[in-house]
Amino acid sequence: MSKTYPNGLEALREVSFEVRKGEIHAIVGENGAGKSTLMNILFGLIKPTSGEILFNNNHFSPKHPSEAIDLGIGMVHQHFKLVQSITVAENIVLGMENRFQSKLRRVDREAMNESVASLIDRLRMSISPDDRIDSLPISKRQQVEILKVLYREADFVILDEPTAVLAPNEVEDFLEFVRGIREMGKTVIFISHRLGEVFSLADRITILRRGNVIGTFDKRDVDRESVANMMIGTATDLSEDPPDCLGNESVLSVEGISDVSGTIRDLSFQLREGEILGFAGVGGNGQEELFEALAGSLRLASGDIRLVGSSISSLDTLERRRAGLALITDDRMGKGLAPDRSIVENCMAGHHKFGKFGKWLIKDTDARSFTESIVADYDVRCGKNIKTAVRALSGGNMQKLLVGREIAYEPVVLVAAQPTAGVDVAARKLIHDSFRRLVKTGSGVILISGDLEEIMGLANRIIVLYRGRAVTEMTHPHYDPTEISYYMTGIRGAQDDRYSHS
Amino acid sequence: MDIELITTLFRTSIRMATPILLASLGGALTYHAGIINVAMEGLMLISAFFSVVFSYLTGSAFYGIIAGVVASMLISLLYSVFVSFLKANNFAIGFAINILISSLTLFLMRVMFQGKNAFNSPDIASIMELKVKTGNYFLDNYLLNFSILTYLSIAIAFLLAYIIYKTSFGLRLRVCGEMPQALTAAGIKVGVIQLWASILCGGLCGLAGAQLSLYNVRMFSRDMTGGRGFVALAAILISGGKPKRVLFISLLFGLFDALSVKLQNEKIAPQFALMLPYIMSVVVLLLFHLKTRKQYGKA
Ligand SMILES: Nc1ncnc2c1ncn2[C@@H]1O[C@H](COP(=O)(O)OP(=O)(O)OP(=O)(O)O)[C@@H](O)[C@H]1O
Ligand SMILES: [Mg+2]
Repeated sequence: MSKTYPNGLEALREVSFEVRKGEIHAIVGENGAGKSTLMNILFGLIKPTSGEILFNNNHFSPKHPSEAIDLGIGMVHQHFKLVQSITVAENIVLGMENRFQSKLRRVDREAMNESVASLIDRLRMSISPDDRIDSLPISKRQQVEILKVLYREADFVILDEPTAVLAPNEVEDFLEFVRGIREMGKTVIFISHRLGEVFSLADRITILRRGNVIGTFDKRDVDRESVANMMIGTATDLSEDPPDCLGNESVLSVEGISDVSGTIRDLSFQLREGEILGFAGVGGNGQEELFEALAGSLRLASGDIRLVGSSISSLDTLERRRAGLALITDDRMGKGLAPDRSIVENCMAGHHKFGKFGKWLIKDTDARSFTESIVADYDVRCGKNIKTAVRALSGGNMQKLLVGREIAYEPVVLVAAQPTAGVDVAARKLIHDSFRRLVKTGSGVILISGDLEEIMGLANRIIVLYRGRAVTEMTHPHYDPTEISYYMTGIRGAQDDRYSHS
Repeated sequence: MDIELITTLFRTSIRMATPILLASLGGALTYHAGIINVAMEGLMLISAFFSVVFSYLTGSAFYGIIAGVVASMLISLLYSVFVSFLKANNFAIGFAINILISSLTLFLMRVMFQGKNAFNSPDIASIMELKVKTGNYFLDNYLLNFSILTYLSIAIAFLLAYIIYKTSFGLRLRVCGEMPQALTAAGIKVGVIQLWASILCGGLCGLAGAQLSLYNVRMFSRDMTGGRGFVALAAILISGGKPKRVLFISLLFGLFDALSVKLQNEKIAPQFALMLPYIMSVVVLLLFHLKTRKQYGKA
């Protein structure tokens, strides 16, 4: 299989691999290695330049996903394909909703909701079929995307980074379910950047590197280190520790904030200079609201937010950025980047308000060199063409671009939500190192993440959020993952209004 | 104000509102499918022309309507092929179609009816009315004796509300406009849904055109749609494509039209009277815009 995109980028170079019936086959590779491209070809979303597919020994060249679906292929897409304004059930059933039509062609919502609810129950997820997508936090959306495929009971399931924004316990439930699918004799292709998941789940692993297949290995024949090295091509050290440059001054202080809807309740914390403060929690326990409260897009009912001493509660997002805040949103396609605009335009966006590229007119050369430095520093793989649309980047490269742009503000406080979602091990290290460099200059970082490993390797202090409250606080090096997960799931600390210890 | 005046005003409003309602219901379908249809003006015009021609030739308004609807559907099909399958810009194609049809109808009229800018004849059959005389003034003037297309259009408004929000086709239609990738991923062809929406839109714009040229005036004149396709577009945008709201807004526009007709007979400069419906469209657009802005905050 080969694929050259219209802009001349060779995403796949004569790759071949084979999936056996009834196995879980993992595909790993750096950002931009071509994993999504390969899967989109299998699913009929894009056409290959050359090559062929044999499915159950029959030639198969899908021109539209409908042909793949007819053969029992289902896919979880890396970038959610969810409709905001309709309900969870409608999103899941879309394409098969005509089964629920009465004689008068009315879709029977009750029957539809019921059939979806039974699937949700089996998966032990907590989503209501009647919720609208735009009211759900990102990890719940991910679950809906997964449900879409499971609902169809496909025999051949492609999972393109299905766990990128799930919390640890959700991941565990999900992996368990995928194993259940295998028990039923179905075949699964699984893509993830978390090698831990890959090794706990997969039977075989195919490694892609820059559009080439390095090889397919039995899980028993390789280990994490060797796979990581084959993915990247060089040896890397993956162990991480929080930075060690704590100052004494507080850069951000949050005093008893509650939002209007009551999702976050009486939350207080201090962020010191040189500190990375992690927020752990199962998605939907107030992380998004905390982010929005800091960003200035959520109305507070009470409480105050102070940036280096002066209150920013009444400022809007732009004014907060002026005051020294930078924001990495977890919704890179929707809120972080403008996917149809070029890389240059996306890098400039926001910075132009600070007169970086000239006061009235934008100086093209300045904008270019600014962009080029971000692209180089964060290793954004874009085929050397910074005029390409951001949509044409791989998911992880988009993320790197977003992180690079925000850190370029040289903020006093950086608020980062899921900063390494969908990012490969090397790029993850790169992003983490850029956070470390930032705090060395005396800035502070708020790290909101569903990835416990990330928080423990990076944060000096961890606050666990449960139902909008801070239920506990731990300081490096006294981290205990099991303890934290007890607090995250409410087994411990839920009754107390304040931290049990600090 | 005397009762006769109110009655004429009401009846004129309804008559004027009918074509706008029909066209904007059609456009609401493509609106939900993700196409802002700027070709409605041309679709109405081609239908107005062929309705008159066939009504004249056959002496039957019914055949006239059918001819208008078919012509409009064919053009709409063409539009959809360009926009949905060849991925051409819908505004460019839409305006091209409008200009083409404006000249085409003028050309055909001059060839067929000896070079005039308008064509009328007593042989053109008019659209039937629901002719019932009950003797009750209110019933006779306010409920009965309108064009059958008026009754049909109101029924269609409710039917479309049902189709768009209750049926499977409606769900796909709405998804098509909001997130076409989701539809593709679910194995449904976006182009096909858009094609169906366009064909239905063509049909409804066809009815609108027939109502314009075969009711009351019974003639075809150059560019006789006079921007109604765009008034319909305004109605769609204001109402967010919700059929029941479209019905309400169309009636409002019909009322402005009727007032304009009425004022032309008064001492006010006729140019101003003619401007009225358009000025009011802008005002209504503005008011609705301010209202939605209030609802969603300043974002
Ligand atoms: N529509 C497109 N047009 C041009 N180039 C594209 C397009 N989509 C992807 N690419 C390029 O193809 C390469 C492979 O992208 P792909 O999305 O397959 O990577 P990936 O392995 O899924 O990475 P990630 O882990 O970051 O999701 C990348 O260099 C990307 O920039
Ligand atoms: Mg990908």
